[in-house]
Amino acid sequence: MIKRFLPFGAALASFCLVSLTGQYAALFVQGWSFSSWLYPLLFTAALESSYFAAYFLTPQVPLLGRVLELSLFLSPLYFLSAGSKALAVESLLVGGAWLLARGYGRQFAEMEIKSAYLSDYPPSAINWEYESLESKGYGAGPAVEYFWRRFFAFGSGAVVLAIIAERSNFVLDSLTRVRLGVLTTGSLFCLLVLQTGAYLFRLQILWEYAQAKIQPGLSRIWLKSLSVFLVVALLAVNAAPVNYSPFSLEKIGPRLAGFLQRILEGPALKREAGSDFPAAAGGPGFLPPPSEAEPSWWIAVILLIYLLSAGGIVLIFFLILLGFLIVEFSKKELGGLRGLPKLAVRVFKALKRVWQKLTGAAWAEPEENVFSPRPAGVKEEFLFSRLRFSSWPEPRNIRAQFRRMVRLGRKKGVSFRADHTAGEYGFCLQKKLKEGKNNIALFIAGYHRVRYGRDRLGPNEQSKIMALGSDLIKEIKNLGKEE
Amino acid sequence: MIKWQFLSMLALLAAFLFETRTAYNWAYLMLILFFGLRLFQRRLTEQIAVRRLTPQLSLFPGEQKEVVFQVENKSRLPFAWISGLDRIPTDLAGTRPKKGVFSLPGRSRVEVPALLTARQRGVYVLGPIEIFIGDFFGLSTQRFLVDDPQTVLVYPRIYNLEDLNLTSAAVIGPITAQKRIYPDPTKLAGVRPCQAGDPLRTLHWPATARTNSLQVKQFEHTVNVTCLLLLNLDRGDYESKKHHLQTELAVSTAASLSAALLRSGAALGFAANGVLTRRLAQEKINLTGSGPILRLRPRQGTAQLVQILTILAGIETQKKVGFETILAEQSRRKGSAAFLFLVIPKDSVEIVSRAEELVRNGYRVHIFVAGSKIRHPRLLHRPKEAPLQIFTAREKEGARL
Repeated sequence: MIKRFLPFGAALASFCLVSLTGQYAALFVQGWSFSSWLYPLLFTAALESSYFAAYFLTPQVPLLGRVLELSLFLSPLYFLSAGSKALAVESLLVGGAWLLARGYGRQFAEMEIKSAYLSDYPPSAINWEYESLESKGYGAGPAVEYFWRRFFAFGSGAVVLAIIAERSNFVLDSLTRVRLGVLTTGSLFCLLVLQTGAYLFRLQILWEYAQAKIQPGLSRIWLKSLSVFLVVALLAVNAAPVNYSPFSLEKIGPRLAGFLQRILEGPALKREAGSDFPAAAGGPGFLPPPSEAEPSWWIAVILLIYLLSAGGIVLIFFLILLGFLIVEFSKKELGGLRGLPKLAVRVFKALKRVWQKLTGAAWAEPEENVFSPRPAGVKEEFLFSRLRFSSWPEPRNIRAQFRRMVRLGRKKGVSFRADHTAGEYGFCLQKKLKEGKNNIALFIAGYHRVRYGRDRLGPNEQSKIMALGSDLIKEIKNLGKEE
Repeated sequence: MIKWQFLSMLALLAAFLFETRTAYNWAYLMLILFFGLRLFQRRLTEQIAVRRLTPQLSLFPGEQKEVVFQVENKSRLPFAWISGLDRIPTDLAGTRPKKGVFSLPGRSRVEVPALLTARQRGVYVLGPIEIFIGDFFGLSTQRFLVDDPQTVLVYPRIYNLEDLNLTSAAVIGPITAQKRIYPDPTKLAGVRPCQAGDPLRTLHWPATARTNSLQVKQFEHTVNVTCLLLLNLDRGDYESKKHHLQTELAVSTAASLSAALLRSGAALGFAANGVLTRRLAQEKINLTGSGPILRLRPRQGTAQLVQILTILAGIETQKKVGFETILAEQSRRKGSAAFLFLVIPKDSVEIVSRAEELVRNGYRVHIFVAGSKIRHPRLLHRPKEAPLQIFTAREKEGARL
């Protein structure tokens, strides 16, 4: 599955996008520059967030866990930042990278969770052919639309930032230009790779449920072909001509402004003499001011009581609401906190596995045997066979023997298909077995009589067929061992 | 999709208005994705060629064979994924056919196999092949139907005669000729002293050397008989409850008898009052006559067996032409065959009386009843030389194993 690489792509895309935003922020925020140590911090925050969200994050994870996670990346900023303004901007950037990657990672996990309903359908009813934007009308929206929406939003955001930077007439040195160019192209590249990765992941989920026959190495061929396409597309996009618009804002702006002004102003109004403005204060156009009599004391008392009671009611209501929220929140938090150690263990084990894979794991500990500890000196194969076969009771009748044969046959590669009759299955077994070829026909004939016949078998006959069955079971068990 | 195309146009408008490289790049990318890629892929799919690699297939029940179709990308550009599925009739699909998914780089081809399991006699047509082509981003999917049908023949099951409860007496091989005209050079009967007029090539040199007098080989005189197999497929003669079982048994009996007779060297003809399925039209069958009866001229060898099996694969019952019509026609065609093998579901009085009439005309008639009841038990278990005999064809238990 491509899933294990997707969070990395998401982290890379988030890192590029936030770094690009940071570069523009360095232009807009006076007295702050984008420090180079911010790059690894942004990337690590994004990486952690996306992998955690993709593999470990559940609604049960308490808020404290998230706070701890975020503080892991924000706390170094406190020591590294130069001043409160820088701290604020850098915190925003790190938080932004963390949140962006979190959204992607959560989406990967949800894609898997939401696909679980597919197990209710037969494989033949699942299709992936219409899982595209164009075929949206045929059913629900494709799962990858989320990624398209983000793609468009982030792309548009980058365009807006670029336009503002250009219109603000900032003087950009060549290094900043290169940096902006690389980060813009890198962001687009990463977003597109992420887009196709998410689509491939969705297809892989569907293929798995539909039990499709997948070409080996399909993901590899896919990504190889895609990289060629992306490189060509991005080169073409960068090489294409720019700034040739016949109706740019500079060209049509003054004309448009004039036109709008004419519309807004309208025709000039004629003034009538003496009717434009009211007369001066105290003149004939004004009413006399009301007399200011002293209010009686009881009105003040009533007002005070009213204010106190209204304030009290509001306060009580607010306190109740707050208490309710605190109780609910603490309930959820306490529930979640209980699972926190387990989560920590899971994360630790996952990290350990990754580390083992990366380092070759020569010192790796053996996997835990969940069912029973293996006695010293007992081979795994033997243990397996003991667990699987010896624990079964001996079949009591011919039908049970046939069922046992089917079970064993399935393990040896001769499965009893839904469309098989007992006779046809016997024919398949006959092809596999060397010694018991002739016995099978007799056994199946006996089985047919027991299963479908009207008469009962005599004790002698039954014991003979059961003896044949036992021999056959032994032979099926030994299939493949001689080789 | 229209929403995204509209947004692409907005991006282009923004680029035109604000004239920034980033805006232009963004607009170009959106246009490539939501307009260019779709159109381009539609064009590119014209370079996809789908063809079947398996030649015509004929199977026996229980046999499995793989059919393969090939998808070739003639262009230099890759396709993200292609999925293809050949439509296989249920009676040929052993398990649920799985759709194949593959990625196709430029100038490459992929072979997609599917396993056929023959279960039921018949003529089946595979196809059309359904192909879906998708892009890298889940923007659009294209669907094609490749109408390249392939006929698959499933012959009837051929049993050993013992498995049909029949003895070797039911069929006849080469018989000794009454007139000793045609010596059979493959069957040496002995040696005898040479007489005037014996051809030189019949000299037996080792015997000549031993006896010191000219000895010639003496061959047996045999003739291959001409047989005719008549199959009754008048629907009215079959029990309605067991129609399928009886038909299949009758057809299998006819196939097994044909195989046994042709293997023994006899020349075998075939006639039946059934109808051929329309799907069999493509096959080359040398039927004689144009009436309602399907008829094959007597011939020897494997080619004749294939012809008969092909007819039997696609034959079905009908209710317009009675079996008596075939028998009446046969009694008019004197001398076309010496032995008649009748495969019928029941030995009705009319058929038996017709058979007796044929016997009077000089034919030897063997009736094979593919049914449960025998109405003329007196004709069962008769001596080998009897001109009219009845046999019951019944599948032995475990015959299919």
